[in-house]
Amino acid sequence: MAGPANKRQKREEYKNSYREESTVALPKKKFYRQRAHANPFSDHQLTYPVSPESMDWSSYYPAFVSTPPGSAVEDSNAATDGVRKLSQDVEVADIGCGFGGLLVALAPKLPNTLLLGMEIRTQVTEYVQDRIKALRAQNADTGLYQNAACLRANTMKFLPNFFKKHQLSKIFLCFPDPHFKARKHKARIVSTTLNSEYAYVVRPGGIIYTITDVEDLHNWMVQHFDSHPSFARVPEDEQEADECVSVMRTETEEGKKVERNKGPKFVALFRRLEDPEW
Amino acid sequence: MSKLRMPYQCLQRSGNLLVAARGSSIDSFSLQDYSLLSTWRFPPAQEPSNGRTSQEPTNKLPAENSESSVDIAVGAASSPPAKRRKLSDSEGSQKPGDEGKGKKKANNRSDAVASGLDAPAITALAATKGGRHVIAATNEDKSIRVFEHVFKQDGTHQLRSLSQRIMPKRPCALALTEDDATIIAADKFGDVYSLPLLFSESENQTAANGSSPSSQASGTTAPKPFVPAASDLTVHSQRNLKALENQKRQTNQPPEKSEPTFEHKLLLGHVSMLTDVVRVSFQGRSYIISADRDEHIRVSRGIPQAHIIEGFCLGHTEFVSRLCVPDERSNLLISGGGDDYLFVWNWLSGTLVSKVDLKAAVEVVMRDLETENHSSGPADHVKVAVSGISHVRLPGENGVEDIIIAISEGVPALFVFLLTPESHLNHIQTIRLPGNALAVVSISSTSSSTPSNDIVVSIDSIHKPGSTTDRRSDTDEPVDPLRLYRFQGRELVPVSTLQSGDGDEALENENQPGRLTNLLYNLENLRKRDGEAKEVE
Ligand SMILES: C[S@@+](CC[C@H](N)C(=O)[O-])C[C@H]1O[C@@H](n2cnc3c(N)ncnc32)[C@H](O)[C@@H]1O
Repeated sequence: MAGPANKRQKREEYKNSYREESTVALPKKKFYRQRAHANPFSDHQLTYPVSPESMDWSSYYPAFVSTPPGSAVEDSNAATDGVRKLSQDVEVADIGCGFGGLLVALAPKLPNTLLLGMEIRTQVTEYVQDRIKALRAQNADTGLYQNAACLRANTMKFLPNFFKKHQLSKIFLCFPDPHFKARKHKARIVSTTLNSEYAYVVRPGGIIYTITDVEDLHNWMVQHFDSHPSFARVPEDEQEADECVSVMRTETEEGKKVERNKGPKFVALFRRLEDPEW
Repeated sequence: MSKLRMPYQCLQRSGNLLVAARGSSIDSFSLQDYSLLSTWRFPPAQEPSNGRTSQEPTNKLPAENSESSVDIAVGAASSPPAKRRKLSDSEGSQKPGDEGKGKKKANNRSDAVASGLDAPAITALAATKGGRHVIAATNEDKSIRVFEHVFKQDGTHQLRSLSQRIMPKRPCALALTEDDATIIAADKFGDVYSLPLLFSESENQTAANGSSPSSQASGTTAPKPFVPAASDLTVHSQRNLKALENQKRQTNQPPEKSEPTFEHKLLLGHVSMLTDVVRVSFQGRSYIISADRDEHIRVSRGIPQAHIIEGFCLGHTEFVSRLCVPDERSNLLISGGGDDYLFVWNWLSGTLVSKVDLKAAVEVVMRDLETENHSSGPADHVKVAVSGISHVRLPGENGVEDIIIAISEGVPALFVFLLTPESHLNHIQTIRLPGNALAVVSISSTSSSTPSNDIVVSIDSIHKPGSTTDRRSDTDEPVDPLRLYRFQGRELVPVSTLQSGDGDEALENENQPGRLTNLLYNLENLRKRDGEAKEVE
């Protein structure tokens, strides 16, 4: 890979100088491109917390840290050594957030909620992080975008490492990779068994948002959530009244692409039901 | 010198018997006197007595491109038939999708499956509480076999094979529901299925996939005419475009592989390789605890709500390989794996109660070995890979005492811990063995006039103690593969060896010297290596 080495160097140079110089200008996407698919089954040298309790969110949401750095007040339950607590938990996750369009559109609309983009591709994650940093700098006076962050994660394996039971109120699954071939269906981000994990991290009453331009994938997602006893489809009128739905349609990068191609968009929302007695 | 015989890789108590798997056969021993009662051997020509009769395809189709790495990622029972299937030998010992990123590594892993035996190796045993049935998981043919103990008129015993069911993926751990009626089988692909203990061929035709709410996706769907899932409008990346083109070229080929026709339900699944599964009854409710290569221990409700996750026990930083819930203290879970520690959990709340350093104890054994052999090295980089955890309840001075026994791959010792009333593990004894411990089972008998608490341990009679690769030399004393220990008070003392049968010959295959090693020692392979599967940009 001779060409790419050169490209990578340019890209690194760009990113380094970008980060040194400006915190205000938005990053240029072309320096963060990465091949379209990452294998969700391999090890990837990911970093992830051992458990939600050991996750240090302070660098992701510095404006929401409850004990400011240097403060003498130390958390009395020192079990979670050195982890600086936030005043509130992350409640919205955008799984496979891509370049972060949804995240930055949603952040000002839900200013009191912490939103997290999760993305498996390193470059893409970095782009979103730099983008949020720039937006925070641009909006220093209003404090907007402090509630949005992005991290690299393989959500198919490690969702419960980040979120405790019933922590989330919303999960977005926007334009997931379709994995057309039948033998790759286990790589799909929606399956009966993965839906149990979504049900675990989402509280009863919470919503899973899905959108795709691939009808077959839409049907697949509907079938798998419908057949999962922890979820029920949200009726269409309620769906259309949800402001997140229009954001999802128009603000995701994929949504915009589909728009340009005049392609279809299939939306489905699912409510997390109460667990029955056990 | 006598031929080297296969050691025993799995031990399981079954009522008044002990069943022990060596290679692809199963020996049954009486617990009265530990005498060998019978040996079940794999039928020479494989004839599944039930279930699917067609043989697995054994020809390996050339991989189309590096993307074929996801071939094996086909969702077990939930997917339409796979277009291509890999040679069963090369599948499953690795976590889905591992290969392709580093071909060499992947090949090592696939060798790990091949045992060098003529017949499929038994990888897990389970037994009904009633003591009548034994369940075995076999590796290469991805099967679950059910056996029944039969005592004949003349007093002889036979382990009779009742059924063989070929699972979607290689099963690797087994459990049973409270009522003994349903098998819970975890596979290397991360899925856990339930299937009835008993089934007959006639039911077989009609009772195909159940469709309980939690298993709809496992239902077999009639082959649909091929319609490309993507339309030209949906395609927005080069790669998707290619996928679409490929798709359009595909035809309505008849499925090469059909779904199992027997009743089976997908209960739950991890996107990781499963290593162990236990089912627990606690406060009148049933739970399934499953462990995986990615450090997770998951607690799900039992059937029929196995789709509900109650929680996780998170704290391991390496693979988890063994779970043990002590019968009489079923609120606790002891787990071990690639970490230096054994963990004690309150599994329902997911809280870590205590940890104990197992590695320190292992190191002592390995250092002693070095001194004895005048060698050096191994003890410097000891790695723990817990391959067995067993619980024994002893009558103690004030009431009862709970003992936990652990073994680690490639270590010739039993590590004995006291599980205190505060749920801490105190290391109280290390028992050196004349060979690496392979499996351990606790056998408490209250029936006879003198209650006894025994431990049977299987040892590696082929490799040198402390090594998973070096074979013993011809001049070494041969060792018996099964040893009996008994508790005297809190102390475990050797009693005898078990007179075992002939067993299969442990063949030395010149071309594949590592095969036996890989059957007996497959946990260390689960450890993630630095630099493994580096992402390619
Ligand atoms: C087609 S893109 C959609 C991006 C974005 N949601 C949008 O609508 O514009 C799908 C994204 O999911 C990411 N992804 C796929 N599998 C993932 C996983 N297991 N964990 C996290 N992200 C994943 C991919 O890297 C990719 O960026």
